[in-house]
Amino acid sequence: MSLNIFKLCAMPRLLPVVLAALALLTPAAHAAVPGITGTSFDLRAEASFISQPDGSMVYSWGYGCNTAPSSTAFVPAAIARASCPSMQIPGPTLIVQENTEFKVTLTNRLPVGAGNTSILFPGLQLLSTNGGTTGLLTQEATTASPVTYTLIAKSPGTRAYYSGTQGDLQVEMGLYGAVIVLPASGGSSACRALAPTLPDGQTDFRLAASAYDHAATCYDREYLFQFSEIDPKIHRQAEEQVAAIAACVPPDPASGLSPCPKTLNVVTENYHPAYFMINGRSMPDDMDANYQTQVYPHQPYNGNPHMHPGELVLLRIIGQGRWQHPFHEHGNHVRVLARDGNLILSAADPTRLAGPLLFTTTTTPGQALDGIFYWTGKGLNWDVYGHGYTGDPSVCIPDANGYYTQLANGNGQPNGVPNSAATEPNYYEWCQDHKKALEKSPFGAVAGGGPVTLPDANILTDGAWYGGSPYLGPDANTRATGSTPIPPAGTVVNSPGTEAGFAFMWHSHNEREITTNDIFPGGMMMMMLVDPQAFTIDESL
Amino acid sequence: MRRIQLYRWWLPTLLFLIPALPIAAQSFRVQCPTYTPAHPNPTTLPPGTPLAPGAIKCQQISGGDGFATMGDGTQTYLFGFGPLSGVQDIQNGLPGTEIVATFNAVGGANGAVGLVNPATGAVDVAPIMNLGVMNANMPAPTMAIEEDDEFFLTLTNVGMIMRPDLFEQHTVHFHGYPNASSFYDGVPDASVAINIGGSFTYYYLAPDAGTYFWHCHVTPPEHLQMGMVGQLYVRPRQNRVSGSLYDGLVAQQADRRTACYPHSTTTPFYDQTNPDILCSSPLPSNHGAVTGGGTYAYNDGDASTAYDVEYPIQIHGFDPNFHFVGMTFNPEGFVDMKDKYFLLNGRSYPDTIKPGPQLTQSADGASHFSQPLPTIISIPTGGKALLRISDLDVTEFQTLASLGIPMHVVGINARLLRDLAGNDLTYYTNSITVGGGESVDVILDACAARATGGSCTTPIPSGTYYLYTPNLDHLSNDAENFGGLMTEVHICTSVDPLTKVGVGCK
Repeated sequence: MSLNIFKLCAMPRLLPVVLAALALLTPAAHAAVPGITGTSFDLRAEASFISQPDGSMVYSWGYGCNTAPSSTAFVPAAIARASCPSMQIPGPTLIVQENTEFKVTLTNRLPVGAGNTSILFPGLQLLSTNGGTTGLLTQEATTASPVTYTLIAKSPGTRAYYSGTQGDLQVEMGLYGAVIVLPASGGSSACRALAPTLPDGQTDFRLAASAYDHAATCYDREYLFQFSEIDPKIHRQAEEQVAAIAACVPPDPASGLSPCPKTLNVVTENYHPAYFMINGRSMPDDMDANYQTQVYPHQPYNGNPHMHPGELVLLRIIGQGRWQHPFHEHGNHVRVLARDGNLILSAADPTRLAGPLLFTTTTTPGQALDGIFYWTGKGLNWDVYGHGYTGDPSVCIPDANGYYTQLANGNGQPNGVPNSAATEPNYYEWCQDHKKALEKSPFGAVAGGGPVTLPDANILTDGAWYGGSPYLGPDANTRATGSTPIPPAGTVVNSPGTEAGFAFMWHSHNEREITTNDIFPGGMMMMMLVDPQAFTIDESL
Repeated sequence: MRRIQLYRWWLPTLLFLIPALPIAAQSFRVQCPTYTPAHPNPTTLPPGTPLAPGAIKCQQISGGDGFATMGDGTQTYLFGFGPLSGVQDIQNGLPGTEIVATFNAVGGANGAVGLVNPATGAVDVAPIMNLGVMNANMPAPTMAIEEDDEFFLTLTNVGMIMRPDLFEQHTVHFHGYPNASSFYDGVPDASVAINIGGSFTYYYLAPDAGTYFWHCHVTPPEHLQMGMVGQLYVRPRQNRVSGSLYDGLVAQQADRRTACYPHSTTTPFYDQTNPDILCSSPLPSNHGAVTGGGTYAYNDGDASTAYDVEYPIQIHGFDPNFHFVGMTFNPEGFVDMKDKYFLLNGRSYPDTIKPGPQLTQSADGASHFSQPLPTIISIPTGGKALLRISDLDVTEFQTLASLGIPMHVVGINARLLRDLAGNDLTYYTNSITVGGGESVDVILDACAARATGGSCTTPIPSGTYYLYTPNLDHLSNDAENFGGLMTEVHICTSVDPLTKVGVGCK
């Protein structure tokens, strides 16, 4: 039992520290796409500090709410404790309707010497501006004069927003965020409408029925991931220069001393980032809850995806910062729906999608991508639920796609009621593999006669997200491991008794970026959990 | 001595668990069953039952360390996987995946090293350690399977002899596998990793055809930079179709596992209006009456991905400072990581064009096969070469350009470029850019003009052409300002597709 702990302590890196931090994680911390909705957004740009898992506080600039939005402005409504601080990284996610005008007012509260600031909205139409002063790329907010942008989105989808002033410094300092445009119709009528619950009775956390006004863009769950980097050298220079300007007492002109500095002069090359973040946080912080203001007052959004087998998951992926990141999703391919709000359809047949299938959805600075992912275990050739043991009552009635989605009629065929099996523990099981054994001579109550012999558990090291057995769900897990307790624990964050999901790492494949200032694990990494159907995915926690 | 100690330690636990524990608790073992439920003994089947397609394939690899030779002659320390089966094939530049009869041939040139009893997988530890220690190959042993195969991959952790401070586990991550299982996904944080002195057998039914790749997933910023990266590809079942390719792809719709469209109760038996959103091989919208008999990259149904010879090419980069630190127990700098060696199949130019395996003298004074793969692309006159390109660099993106022969990109991330209406989305270019964790399938067509039937009317002249990187700083071997990501493409009279040996090459 102590074997695994011994190994952890022997690791030459800060792994024990990270695992200790993991143990403090909110047990079920999920995400959805939280943000503020409406037709008028009152934002400000301000300085503060954000935290990294190595304990450092990094001086940063971010957008935030100038006035607190009303409680009904926070969506999805089911996510509790939502708030919008005066500075956050990424900036507040703005959720708007296609073809509906909206305004964004920006008040400049950056420190003296930082100069003007602004917001660019690529992929949206800027109808007019009010206030502020003319800048190089767009109207800018001075410290004295806020600017109001009047905008409209002519297509749905995900977009980036970021500063259009001194971008090499201001975007690096954290002035970026996301705009989500929902389809004007509310979503395609071919997709399941928004409702309080999904067919399985669990809460529906979606913002719309589909990503675009198109029948092929239905989804059941959605996540937003924004990728960015931090070069601490740049942030330190900004912090020191801002402090120097604030503290400087103007010298006597006769003294011959230099006058006080009035503006910043931060060197932003050579670029050498040490922190790599998803939604403004590095691993493992990104896996904590949304809106955890006591711990992350200025980093409200997390990256902690969960899904049930068969659920269509919409991924909204934005490259902020200045580097590309090969974002690799373990577990399956992603069908790219659109780039920058442009749905990619077949030239010959616009009812069909034409985006590529990618297992690595590389991010590009300023570019947004929408894609669909799902996991079902199709084609594994063994039953992931450990069915097939003596006395197993489970059934799997294949629908037209081969999955268990409808209960049986009298003749062992699907009963014709869509999703009637949604509350079954093996909803969306791949029926062709039903009762197929994995193990030759199993240890425990799962089917035998399969192709593989598992190694003795004592020569394996368990990961923190290991469910406890090769199987999905606590029922299968308990049957597979029998009465002997699972040797070396360390299964901290995927409880074998209540969750036992399948964990898949979603991370930047420029592996150097899954570190936090030379510490592994860290950086641009998340664990995605495919949870058994019976497990409640509560994005509101 | 060591085995007896192990046995004694196990004894009380073993006695307690004997009723339920399978076979023996030997830590090193291989698995390569002759029959499985998916590929059963044909003599036991009712007469007339068709045999299941595909076969059982097996491979054993060691996880450990070793040395490799860089383009400027430097001997560099690496972590790596080495072959513990298919050793002769690997030395001849071929994949190390074998059929059961070859893997289970005790003492065979391509058999599992150390195998004693094929029925139980029991092995003798000594040959495994004698070969496995310091046996790291760069890139790691290539795996090649066909769709419908069952693949048993045994990873045996022989320890890293130069790093006695590390109790490092290793894993195999099958990068890109759709609907992967967490248990066999090879991510140690998400499931399990094998300790030193143990073997773990990964099991997968082959996924849909394409160019995937594999690598260790323990502390990836370290293990990947240090060299634990390898190639993996799945050939399409279309290679077994002799009649109409389109009919062959239609027939795949009958099995839901290989179908793109849901079943229908009306004619035809599949509903082409409603493809699965992650469907990998939609039926081609425009297809001629093409018959099979060739080799293809994907189940294209129209021969659009046909090729004559295939070449796996893996791009990687080494940071010499990091590798030195990795050998000398010093703290590692990930922030400061900067590649100075740029590798195609583990070698930099001019080593990329030297035929035969490369040897490196290691810290034990012995020469070990370190880099078995040159990257000499030989194309028969008027023919096509499939480049299965993957990139596992951990710091930056890489570009590979073709001088003289256009690149036809037919697949990205192990999926055919075709939209869900069946239209062709492949494209022509002169260069491809990939980041770590990406793969791309490129066909180099040594033909300037083809007749309607497909035969070549204007072949590209025989000669030597080049693949090189226009990231000119990557055309170097550390301080040597010419080297790196570059290799030669030869147009020859003919090329043996199995051995890649060309005849009449210029």
